Amino acid sequence: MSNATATDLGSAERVYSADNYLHAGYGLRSWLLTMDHKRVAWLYLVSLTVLFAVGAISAALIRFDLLSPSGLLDASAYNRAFTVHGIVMVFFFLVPSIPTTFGNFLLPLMIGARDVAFPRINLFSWYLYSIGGIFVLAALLSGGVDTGWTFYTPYSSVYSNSAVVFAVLAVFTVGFSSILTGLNFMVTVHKLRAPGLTWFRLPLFVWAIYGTSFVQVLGTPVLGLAMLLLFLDRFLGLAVFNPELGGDPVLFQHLFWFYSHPAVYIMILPSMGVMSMVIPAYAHNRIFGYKFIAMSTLAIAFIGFLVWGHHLFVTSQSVYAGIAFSLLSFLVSVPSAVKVFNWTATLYKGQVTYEAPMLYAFTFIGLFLIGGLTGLFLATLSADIQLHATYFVIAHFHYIMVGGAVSGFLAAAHFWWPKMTGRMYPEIWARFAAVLLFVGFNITFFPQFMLGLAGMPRRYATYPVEFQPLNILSSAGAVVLGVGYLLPLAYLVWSLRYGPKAPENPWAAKGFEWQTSSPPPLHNFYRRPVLEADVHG
Amino acid sequence: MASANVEVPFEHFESLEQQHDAARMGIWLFLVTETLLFGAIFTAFGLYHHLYPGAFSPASRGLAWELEAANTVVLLTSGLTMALTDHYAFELRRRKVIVTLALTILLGLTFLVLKGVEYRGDYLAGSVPFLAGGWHYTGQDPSHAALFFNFYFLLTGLHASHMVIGIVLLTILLGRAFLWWSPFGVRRMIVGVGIFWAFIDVAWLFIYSSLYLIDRSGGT
Amino acid sequence: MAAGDRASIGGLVTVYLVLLALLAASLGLTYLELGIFNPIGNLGIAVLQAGLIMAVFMGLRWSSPLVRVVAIGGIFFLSFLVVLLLADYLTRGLA
Repeated sequence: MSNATATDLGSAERVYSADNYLHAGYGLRSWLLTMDHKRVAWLYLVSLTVLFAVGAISAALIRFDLLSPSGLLDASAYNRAFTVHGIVMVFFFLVPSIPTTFGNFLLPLMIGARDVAFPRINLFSWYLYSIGGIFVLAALLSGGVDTGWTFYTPYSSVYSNSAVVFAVLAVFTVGFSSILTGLNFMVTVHKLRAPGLTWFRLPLFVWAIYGTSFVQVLGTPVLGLAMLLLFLDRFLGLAVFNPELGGDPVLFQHLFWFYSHPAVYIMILPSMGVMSMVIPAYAHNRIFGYKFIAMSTLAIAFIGFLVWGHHLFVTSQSVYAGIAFSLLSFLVSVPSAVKVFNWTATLYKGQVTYEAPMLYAFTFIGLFLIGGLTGLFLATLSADIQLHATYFVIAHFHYIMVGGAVSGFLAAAHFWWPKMTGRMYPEIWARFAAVLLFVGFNITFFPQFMLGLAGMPRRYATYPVEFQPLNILSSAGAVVLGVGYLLPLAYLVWSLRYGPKAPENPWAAKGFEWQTSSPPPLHNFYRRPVLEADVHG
Repeated sequence: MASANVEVPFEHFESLEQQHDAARMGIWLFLVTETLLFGAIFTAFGLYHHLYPGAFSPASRGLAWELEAANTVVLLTSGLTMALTDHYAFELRRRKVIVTLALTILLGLTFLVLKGVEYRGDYLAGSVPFLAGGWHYTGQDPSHAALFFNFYFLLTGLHASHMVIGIVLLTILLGRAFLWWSPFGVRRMIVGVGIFWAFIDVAWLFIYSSLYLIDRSGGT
Repeated sequence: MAAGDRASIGGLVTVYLVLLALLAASLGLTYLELGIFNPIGNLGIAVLQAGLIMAVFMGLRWSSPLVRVVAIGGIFFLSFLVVLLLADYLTRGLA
């Protein structure tokens, strides 16, 4: 099935530049008006870090409050803390994270292109993201929002006295940013592949970004609608969810989750794509089951649109619809499992080394496994009656989103750092940070499964006194986890100045991006990239 | 005064054909998002119409369907003039493009004016259930009828705002066509805006049918 | 982009006239009392008009298969929303 000889995928006679993209302009304008996808990736990386910090501080406030059963914050402040934590972490970190940074940087490189299909729209997407961030700031300065990141009506539309309008504008704007990015990437993958680079010769990270973009384009408009309707209700009094008019508040939930469930696949698919690149590199082995992984990406993207009702099991949603959604939710776990099996099989007969990206990859597999399996409990209609809105749910999605998606983000950051910056990060510190993250994460979130099973509800500033020991344990773990995040921030920034210079291919990995200099020239390649045999099997 | 006689693709494209295909695919992907936006609203409307036919049908029959039938003709005509603009732009016929663009803008503005007339009529009839709209509906089942009117204003308002965006884009195009500094750039933009404008037309046809026509035969 | 890949002016005007005729038909339909076939007729005509506009005014007739799939794809996914939403609301009262 694989080529015995290398395939030269050259294009027509092109001018290849020799300069380093970071040297192609130094002023503020060269960054803020850039059309270079690699610089846009850095713009996003900076904005994302700022917003992640906001999300992390609000997490610290939550864990601080929960140190005591009577709550160390008052309930109103607590509600605002978990709301901003959710909004920022979901919409402003997890959804954009990998696609806008590593996706932006690597997609054209991986397909042998000079840029994405619409470079100006790419920059515009970042401006939209930033404007969204300003709306979040406005919401915070106006006293915050207390509706939860899910904005359920009628509390959000009628009764809440908080800055819902700013929050809704923030989400709407960043949603638009997400749509444009997805659109850009889809056209890029369809149209800008180097000649001869057929779909089944693409790196799996490209498949992952494509699947993600697909979901972004199809799902986000409905979120936009939900936000628009909420805005109109608060701003004009134009109500369609108001029971007094015959409206159904649950309709809001349907519209909201029609996006927000596929959104979790937007958040995890890119990390899975990272896994499919990192694991073969450090196992020094070909990926096992390339086509299965590629197809399972599409399966997840597709089936992910059919399961949103599992968030509505305890509402007035019909139990028959609930049964259908439950079955479909079981189905969507299968392609994810296929991926985990394939990554594990890739390790077999490989020569595994344990650089930091690989440690993050192992973290991903272990924690995603737990998160994914606990999702099955929640997908079970009857079990969910007990588990809904408890800490079991919180633990479940943090295992996937932090244990999974964030581990993937950090794996990518370390794996491609040499390529993007031309510097090596300090390996010892990186491995230490990875282990610290794994330990801190589990201490923080495993107790939450137990708390959830015991009945501790989510979004309450207080709790029964018998839950205190586990809560204290969880908060202590959060401190360790926090250090695990701060360390990479510190040593990665340090490495920009003091890290050793990186070679073209420090990991001896396969792929077009490793066939150009570290960092790449302005137009990505200085000689035509060559597709190696046996890359994909 | 064109700077080149032959259109050259952007730096990151291999060929003109690739660039045009990419642009077309991009526009349509954007329209997919619009389809989902409007489509979700129609779904919700259809749902409530199914639940409260006794309120929705009479409310619909009270709407100014003749005025909006005329408006539909206006919009369809603007669809023709826009398609003609695209046709002439392909041939780079500057004068004809300017004329057809101007006509399209004029028709678009006419649509908005007539819509404004209708909204005024709705306000005077007490059919505005939000803001300080002076809601005094005398028909059947007022609270559920209010829901109908909320959807009516939502759909027509969302459509009108898309019309405004379209007219702004067309006006920019008119300016660019006048200056003719980059004929190929003008042509590219006309392709995109033309497809967008036609989509707004399609959306209107469904809005008009759903809000004004499907209940019309049920009574007086 | 070859010259044959688009409508002639005559073609555009013809489509326009057909659209107007369909509008007239739809309006005419409202004068008949056909029960469930009234909305079906009106919306069906709207679908026909949409199809004509998409094919000719928006150029789908001369576009690549990829673009056509994209154009129809949105409706396909919308149907998931519609079907599963109705699966909820239509089965709420049962047993």
